[in-house]
Amino acid sequence: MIHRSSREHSTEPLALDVEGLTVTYGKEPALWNADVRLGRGALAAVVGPNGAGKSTLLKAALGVVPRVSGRVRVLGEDPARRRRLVAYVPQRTSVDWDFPTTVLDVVMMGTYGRLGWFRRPGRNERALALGALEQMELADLAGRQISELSGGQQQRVFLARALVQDAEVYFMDEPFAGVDAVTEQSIASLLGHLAQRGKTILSVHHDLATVPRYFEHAVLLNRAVQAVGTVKEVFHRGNLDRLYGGRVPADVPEFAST
Amino acid sequence: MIEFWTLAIAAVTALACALSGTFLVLKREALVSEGLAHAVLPGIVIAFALTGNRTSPLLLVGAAAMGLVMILAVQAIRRTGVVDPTASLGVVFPALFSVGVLLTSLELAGTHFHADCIIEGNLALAPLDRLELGGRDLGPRAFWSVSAALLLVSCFLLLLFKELKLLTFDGELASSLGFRPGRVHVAWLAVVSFTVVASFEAAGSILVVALMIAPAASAVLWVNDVRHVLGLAAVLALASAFAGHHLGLVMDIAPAGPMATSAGVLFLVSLALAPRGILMKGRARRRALAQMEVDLVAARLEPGQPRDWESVRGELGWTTKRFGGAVSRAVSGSAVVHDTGARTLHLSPGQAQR
Ligand SMILES: Nc1ncnc2c1ncn2[C@@H]1O[C@H](COP(=O)(O)OP(=O)(O)O)[C@@H](O)[C@H]1O
Ligand SMILES: [Mg+2]
Repeated sequence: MIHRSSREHSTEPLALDVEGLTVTYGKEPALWNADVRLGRGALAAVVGPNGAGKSTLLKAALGVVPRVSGRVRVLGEDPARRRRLVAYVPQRTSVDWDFPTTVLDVVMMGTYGRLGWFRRPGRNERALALGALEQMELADLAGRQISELSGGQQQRVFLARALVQDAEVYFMDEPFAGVDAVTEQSIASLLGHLAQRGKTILSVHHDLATVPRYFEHAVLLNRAVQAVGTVKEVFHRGNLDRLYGGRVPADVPEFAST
Repeated sequence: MIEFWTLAIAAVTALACALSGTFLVLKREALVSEGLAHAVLPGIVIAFALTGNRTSPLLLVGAAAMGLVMILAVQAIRRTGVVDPTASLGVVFPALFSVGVLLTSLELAGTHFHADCIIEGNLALAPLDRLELGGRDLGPRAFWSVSAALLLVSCFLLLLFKELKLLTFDGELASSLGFRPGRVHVAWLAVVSFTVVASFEAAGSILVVALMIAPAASAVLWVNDVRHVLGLAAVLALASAFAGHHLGLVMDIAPAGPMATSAGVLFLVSLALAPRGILMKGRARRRALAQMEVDLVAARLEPGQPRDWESVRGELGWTTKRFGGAVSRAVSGSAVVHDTGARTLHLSPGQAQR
C-alpha cells in the first residue's frame, strides 16, 4: 500500500517529508491529511486563507502540537532526533514582548538547544548571538529592552535567534508580517542567502503579490493541501481562486506565464 | 528568642514566596497563587486526616500534591473551552476553600486550624510549635518547613533557570528545542504548591498570595532582566516582612496583616515611582513632547539666515509662553541661536544636517 521505493532510490533524504499529517484542536480538523515534500535548499511559502492551518502545519511538523495521524521526517529522521537541525521562528505576536529581558538574551535563546538541559549560556553563546545580531543589522540594539522594539526590529530579533541555531531546516511563521519595506527587503535577501547555502525554508506568507518574488516553491493550504510545487507550477489564478473561494484580489499577477 | 523565630520564619517565608511567585507573574499566571492558596486547604486537612500526624513531612507533600492536582484540573477544564476561563477559577477555588473550611470546622481528626488562622495565619504562635527529633529541640517546625520550601525553590531555579525562562517567554520554541515545557511547568507548579503549603500555616492565605505576587509585580516595574526581577522581588519581600513585623509589634496586632499591607504599599510606591511606573511614563511623554517642540522650531530655521521670532511663532500657531519655552530649550541645547536684540532666530551651524 505504501510506495516508498522511488524515494529510497534517491541518495539524499528529503529535507522535509510530511505524510498524511492530521491535527485537530477540537471537533474539526485544523489540518487534514497533509502531504508536503521539500528537497534540500527549497525556499517554500505556505499560502492560504486565515485559519487554514498554516501555523498548525509548522507546529505539527515541529512536534509542538500533537498530531492525530501522519508521519514527519526531517532529513530522513524523526524530528525529535533532528532538533538541532531545525529552527523555528514563531509568529511575532505569539510571545509577550513586555517580558523583562534584552535583545541579546532573546537571541541567545537560539543556543539553548545546543546547550541542552541545565547548562547555562556563556561567552561562546554570547559571541554567537552578537554575530547573528550583526548579520541582522541589530548590533546597536543588543542591550535594548525588548519592549522598546518596533515590529520590524522584533521580527529581525526572531530571525537572528533562528540564525544562531545554525539549522538546516527553517520553519518561519509570517516573518514578513508588519515590517517596513526596507526590513522586508533585508528579510527576503536573508531567505535567499540561506536557500543558496542549501538551507531549506518553509515560511508562512500572507502577501500573495510577493510570493513569486521571494519564494521558489509554494504550498497551497486550506486545511488540506491543495497543491505543492514550484511557484511556476502551482501558483496560478485557477489554484488561488479555488484556495480563496474566488476572492483573490485582482492585483495578484498571473504567474503561470512568468 | 520567640521574636527572633517569628522574624526568621517570616523572612524565609517571604523569600520562598517571592521567588516562586516571580515566574507566575512573568507568565501572567498570578491567579494560580490565589488558586493554590485556596486549593491546598482541603489538601492539608485531608492529608492530615489520612496521616493522623501533624508533624509528618508527608502532610506537606500530600497537601502540595493535592494543590497541584487541583491547579492542573482547573487548567484542563479551561482547555476544554466548555467553561469560561475566569469562571472556572472563580467557581472551583472558592468551592474547594469552603470544603476546607467545612472540614476544619468539623474538627476532622482534631485539626487545630481556626477559620481566622486560615486567612491570617498564626505567625506569632508558630515559634511555639517545635520540631523535636530524638528528644532534641530543633527549633520551630514552621521554620523547617518554609526552609525546605526555600531550598526546593532555590535548587529548581539554580538548575532550571534557563529552561524556565525559555518556556515562560516562548513555550513553542522551548517545545521545538525539546525542553518539554509542559512537564517543566508542572514540576515548577509542584514546587510552588509545596511553597504555598509550607507557608500556609504560619502566614495564612492572604499573606502567601501577597508575598508571591506583590514583590514580583513591583520588581518588573523597576528592572529589565529576569535575574534582577528575582533579586529585587526577594529584597522587597524581605523588606515587607521586616516592616510588617515591626508594625505588628508597634500596633500590637498579628504580623501577617501588616506584612501583606507593606507588600501592597511597596507595590503602590513602585507603580507610582518606578521607571516603568505611572509618573515616569508621564514624565517621559512630557520630555518627548518638549523635544518635539524643539525639533519643530529648528525645522523652520536655517543657519546664517535669521528669521523673525514673532513670525516663526505665528507659523507654529503657539502661545508666546509655549514658543518662548521651546526656543529657550533649543538655545540651551545649542540647536538654535537667539539674537535677543534683533529678536531673530537662526539655526546653529552644527545643526544644519539634522
Ligand atoms: N491552540 C488552539 N486551540 C484551539 N483551536 C486552535 C488553536 N490554534 C489554532 N486553532 C484553530 O485551528 C485552525 C487553524 O489555525 P492556524 O493553524 O493558526 O491557522 P492559520 O495559521 O492558517 O491562520 C483555526 O480554525 C484556529 O481557530
Ligand atoms: Mg497563523
